[in-house]
Amino acid sequence: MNQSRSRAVLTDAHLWVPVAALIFGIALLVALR
Amino acid sequence: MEGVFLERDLRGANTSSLHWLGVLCGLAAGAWLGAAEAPVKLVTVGLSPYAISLCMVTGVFVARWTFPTLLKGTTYVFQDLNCRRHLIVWAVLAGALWAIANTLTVFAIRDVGLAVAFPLWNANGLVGLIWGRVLFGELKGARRSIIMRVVMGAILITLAATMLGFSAMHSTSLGGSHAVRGVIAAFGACLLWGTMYVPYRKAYLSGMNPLSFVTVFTVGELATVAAAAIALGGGYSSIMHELQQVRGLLFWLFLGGFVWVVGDLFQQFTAKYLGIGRGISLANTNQLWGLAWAALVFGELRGASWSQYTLVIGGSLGMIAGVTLIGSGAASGKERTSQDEAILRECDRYDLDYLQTIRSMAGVEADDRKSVRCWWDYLIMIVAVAFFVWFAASATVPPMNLNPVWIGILGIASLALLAAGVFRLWRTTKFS
Repeated sequence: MNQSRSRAVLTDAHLWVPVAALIFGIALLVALR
Repeated sequence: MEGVFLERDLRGANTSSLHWLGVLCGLAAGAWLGAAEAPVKLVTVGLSPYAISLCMVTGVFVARWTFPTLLKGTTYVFQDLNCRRHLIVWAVLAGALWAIANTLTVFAIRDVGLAVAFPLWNANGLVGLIWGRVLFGELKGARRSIIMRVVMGAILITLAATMLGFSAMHSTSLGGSHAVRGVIAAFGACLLWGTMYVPYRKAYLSGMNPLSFVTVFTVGELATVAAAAIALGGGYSSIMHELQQVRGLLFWLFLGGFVWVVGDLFQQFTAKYLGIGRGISLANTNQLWGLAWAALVFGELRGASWSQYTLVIGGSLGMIAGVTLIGSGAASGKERTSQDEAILRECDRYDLDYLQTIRSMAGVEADDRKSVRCWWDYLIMIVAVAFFVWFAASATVPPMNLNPVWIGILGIASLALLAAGVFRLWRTTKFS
């Protein structure tokens, strides 16, 4: 994947929705274990 | 924006048939996701939920590589992935979200019991509805009557699935003593399972074939489930020791995972052709099928009270009403324009061919895409078959009282939906 496409991925606001959900989920798992 | 309207005219003729294809795939997804519960019910020994998940996902992994190879060949799949490499991270993310949500449900059941946890995570269809509207413009510009039908349909299916879940429970007590923790875990699972569909929709709005998406999705899924099983299930040796003890039953878990993938593939095509707002709710009809297998084949409602039967009848009618509402709420006019704008956003951002992406969303294959088979495609299929035959050879059937007539009836109904779905997918889109 070229650099501009990588930048497009990282600056895509949509990406941070599942990323935030995943971080939230992992944090929950750690807190509840 | 002129292009948006121009291309819409190009594929306008078959939008209605694509809607009905999406509905059919949603119903087939419900049937097969529900049927996946049947083989798992044969595993009556006390395996840890982590070991059960790991086995099922191993079956899922094998199936997720077998079906795309069978239908399209790995050359096609890798060509498709190579054209949209930026989506690989999305597919891995979606797989990880599924696995973390699945593990959270284990905690929710432990802390608050299935009766409270189930309705919470089952509301994932409503989360998907919100993300579909906010991120991808689903229902944007739709007539008020269509919005009402889709929203009411999704709410009805969520409530109906909850009623069916309650009807199958033998106790409605609050499980463990950590109620707040359990509710938070169930809410987390709901949020993650609703958000998991964001990458699905993103991939399909970019023109990716669902069969390509799942081959990467499953890598994130298997890796995260394995990591969760090792971290939370007492370590690698503990999990392996547990599985060795019940080797004769592993086949049923693999088979459950395999059947589940059939349903999930239909679910992927639903997400593509209907969108996530409508699609997730239709796939959630799996509760009805799961209950049918449990009650009719395994006799789990034997001796049930009138209140349980009332829940079954109410839940079933609610689900049928919800499906009818969503089925009759086809996107048209301005909503289609909103979808085209969402596609245009992806094409501008990731330098994709807009016209080709519009055609892909309408189920038209790219001209340069070849479905050729190489020797390793046959090798993958042989290895997959050998995997199942090897475990099937040592499978044991636990002594259970199963109803063979209902196995036949539900099996035939599921196969009929499979045949109808496969035929329509092949005829309309050639599995693209």
